[in-house]
Amino acid sequence: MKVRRRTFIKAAGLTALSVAGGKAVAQRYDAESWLSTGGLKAKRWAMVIDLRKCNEQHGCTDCINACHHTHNVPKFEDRKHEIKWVWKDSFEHAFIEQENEHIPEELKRSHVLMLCNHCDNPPCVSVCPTQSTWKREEDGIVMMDWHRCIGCRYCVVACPYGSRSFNWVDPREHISEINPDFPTRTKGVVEKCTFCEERLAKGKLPACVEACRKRFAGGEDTTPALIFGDLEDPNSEVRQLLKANFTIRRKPGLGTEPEVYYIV
Amino acid sequence: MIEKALYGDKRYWTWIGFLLILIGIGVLNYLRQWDMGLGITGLSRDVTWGFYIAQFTFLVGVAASAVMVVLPYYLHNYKAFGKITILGEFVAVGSVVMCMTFIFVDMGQPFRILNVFLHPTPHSLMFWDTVVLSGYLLLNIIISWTTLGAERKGIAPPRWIKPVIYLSIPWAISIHTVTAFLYSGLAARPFWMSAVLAPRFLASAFAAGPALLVILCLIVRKV
Repeated sequence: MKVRRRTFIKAAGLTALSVAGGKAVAQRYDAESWLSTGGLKAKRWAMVIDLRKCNEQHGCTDCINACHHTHNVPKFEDRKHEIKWVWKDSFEHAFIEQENEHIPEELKRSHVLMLCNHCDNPPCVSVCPTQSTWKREEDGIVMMDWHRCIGCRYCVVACPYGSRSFNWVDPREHISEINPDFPTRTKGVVEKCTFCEERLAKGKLPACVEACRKRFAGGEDTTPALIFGDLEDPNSEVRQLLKANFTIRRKPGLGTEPEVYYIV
Repeated sequence: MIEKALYGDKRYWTWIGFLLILIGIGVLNYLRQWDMGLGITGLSRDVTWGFYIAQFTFLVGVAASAVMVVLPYYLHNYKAFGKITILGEFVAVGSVVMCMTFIFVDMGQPFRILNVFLHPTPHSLMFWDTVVLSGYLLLNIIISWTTLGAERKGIAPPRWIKPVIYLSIPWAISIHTVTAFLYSGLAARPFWMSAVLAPRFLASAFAAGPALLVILCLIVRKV
């Protein structure tokens, strides 16, 4: 009896291992991402945020509201569970490496808009054990797969910018108005800004950029504070702004190569 | 060999009963966490890894060092360590099981854990951590089962166990080194980003683990 049981356990173990191993090998071959047909395309999406223009619109949170509404981001009273894809914080918190006591007062008091930087060398991608976050080859967007994420939060630990949020509780009860065109997430997965890749695929700009455009449309200077474009296209608006203005990035010394530039 | 655990006196069963109650409390609270989500732990955006991962790190060290006590016996033939090797191996098994349990309960989606094996990611240290921990558990179960079985029958363990034991020694060092690399490779956490983290973890593990083992031996001797 003992021998038969042992043989059974050995056979079962071997079968399980070979199935898992075979699946892993097969998975290598369908790892190609699918290219969207139509829609906006770029070699490397990047964003330039003009902080001067942003701060002139005192207390404006149009971009944050647009993003969080479009993507069913919940709102929690308990700050511990908060989820944010794009948010504002002080200059000191945003640019920690700028240790300078004597920066202008208005700059010190300004609020900086922050989001996932879609780094060229993303630390979150290199630590994810299941590849549920990856950098898309075609356009450089750091993507999220909420079906594969196991919720280990290694990416949250690895991100130097605090761009990622974890669903500590079920978010669905805390969404004020569900947008049926975008999925809601379950508890236990990590989420972040994805540069609105689902909107880009339909030829639309990211929700935050569109909201900012709307805000500036009526005024004198219609160029919004958020400019989105292709970094590898030398004629794009992003490249022109980078040529004309001095820009800084968050924590550039870490080698992550963030793709969100700030005009201060 | 499992039958040995089913016979004991009243003191034994009281102790087992007490442990079962503790386990029951743990399971009930895990069900609460399963229902509400990890938010029940009080962890937040700023503190994403707490007690669970801290305990895991400590126990990985204990598991690694429990195997270190077999070094004098197998590599240097210091026979006096023969009796403690079995205790060391079983402590290692217990610690590794606890480690893996701590990781399981820390996951936001624990039933997706197989994704780590279905989508292997060699550039992620957490993948390697899963691999070495599972391998270590397997190794130690095999080693402790065989050596204890042989000792009970009063014969020497089979020859094939020697290379497996020799494998478990660098494997023990690797489990704690991989855990240290998990922390030390993060540019976002400069406090932990240090080359000395791996030797430091190993050194503190090799102090803490045998200390725990010594206390266990004293208790076992008294009881």
